[in-house]
Amino acid sequence: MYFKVNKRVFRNALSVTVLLALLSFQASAGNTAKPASASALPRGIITVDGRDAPDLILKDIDGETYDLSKSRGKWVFMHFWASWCGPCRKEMPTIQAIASEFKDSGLAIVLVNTAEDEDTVFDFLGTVAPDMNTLLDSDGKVTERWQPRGLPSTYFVDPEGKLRYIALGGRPWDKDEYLGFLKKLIKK
Amino acid sequence: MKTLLLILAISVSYTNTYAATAKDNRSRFDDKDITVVIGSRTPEQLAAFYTGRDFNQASIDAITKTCFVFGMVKNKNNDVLWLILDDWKFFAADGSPIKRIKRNDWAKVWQQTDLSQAHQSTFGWTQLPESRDLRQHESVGGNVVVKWQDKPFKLIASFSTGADKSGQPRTITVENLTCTSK
Repeated sequence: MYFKVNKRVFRNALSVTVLLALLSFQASAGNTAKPASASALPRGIITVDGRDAPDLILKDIDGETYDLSKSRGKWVFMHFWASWCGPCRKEMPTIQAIASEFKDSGLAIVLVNTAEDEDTVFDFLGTVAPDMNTLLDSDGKVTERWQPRGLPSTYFVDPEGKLRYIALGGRPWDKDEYLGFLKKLIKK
Repeated sequence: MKTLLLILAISVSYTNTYAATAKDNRSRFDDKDITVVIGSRTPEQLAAFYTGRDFNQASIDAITKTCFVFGMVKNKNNDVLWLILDDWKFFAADGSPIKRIKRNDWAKVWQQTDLSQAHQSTFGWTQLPESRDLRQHESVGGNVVVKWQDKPFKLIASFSTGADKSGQPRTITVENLTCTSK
């Protein structure tokens, strides 16, 4: 009797294990397949067509003017954000974390706040990323000309002023996968 | 034990269709290719959000006279998933179609309420785009606005797939959306 019970339990346990294995395989098969063309770039970064970056001349929170055309010869990390956007709040500290690493390098990190007033921007950055400065697109028109795919959005402008990549949504820029991508850019 | 095995077997087949759960005035659809979250916002939530962004009272009044449905769509497949709001159809309790209030409609409203350009821009970024080719791992979120409804209403949202939209379309139905707190 004791043996029979154990045998039945063993058989049932085996059946459950097989089913769980099937479930697990099905879940992983759906999530890990990647096209070969996408494997060279970190997740969420896609190539764009190399058209000219739109003009961008804006003032930062200290009143200093930035002109994108003056950054020719460098890659530009052009990041559009707003304080009310949840993913922006999560992503901004990761940008601050890498900013010092790329200071005076071949990559300029440029932030553009979309359509908010100085007080709102100052409060947000003071809390979330106090070392960062940002350009102010006070009426939102510059952002609309760039047509990002939502906020946050990051464009990569090459040293000739062409749009080369876009990061879809917020990305953890301080992780190795993304840091490696940025370092490769400036070695090109 | 047989019951447990039956439940597990059903789970296997169900992951190939949709797993839908409703919680906190929102419905979630999840499978290996797509995640969609749909719900509605109350006038109080809308007023709080836009007041916090210094929208003028006339604009907030105009906003809260309408009904905001929020949506989040994530593409988990390698192929393109198309969000096209014209493929989202809303139906009233009596089955009649409900008109969606589009971006151009809001431009006329803002002229009447004298909303600043900056606030118009912010409002625009809180809306779902009219069309978006969602790439692998890309998500999009925002609001879509319909005329105010006193009774629960329904959304049938269709999504084309494939870069040329020739893939198998996906359709999601959400019942019992409401404009007020449930």
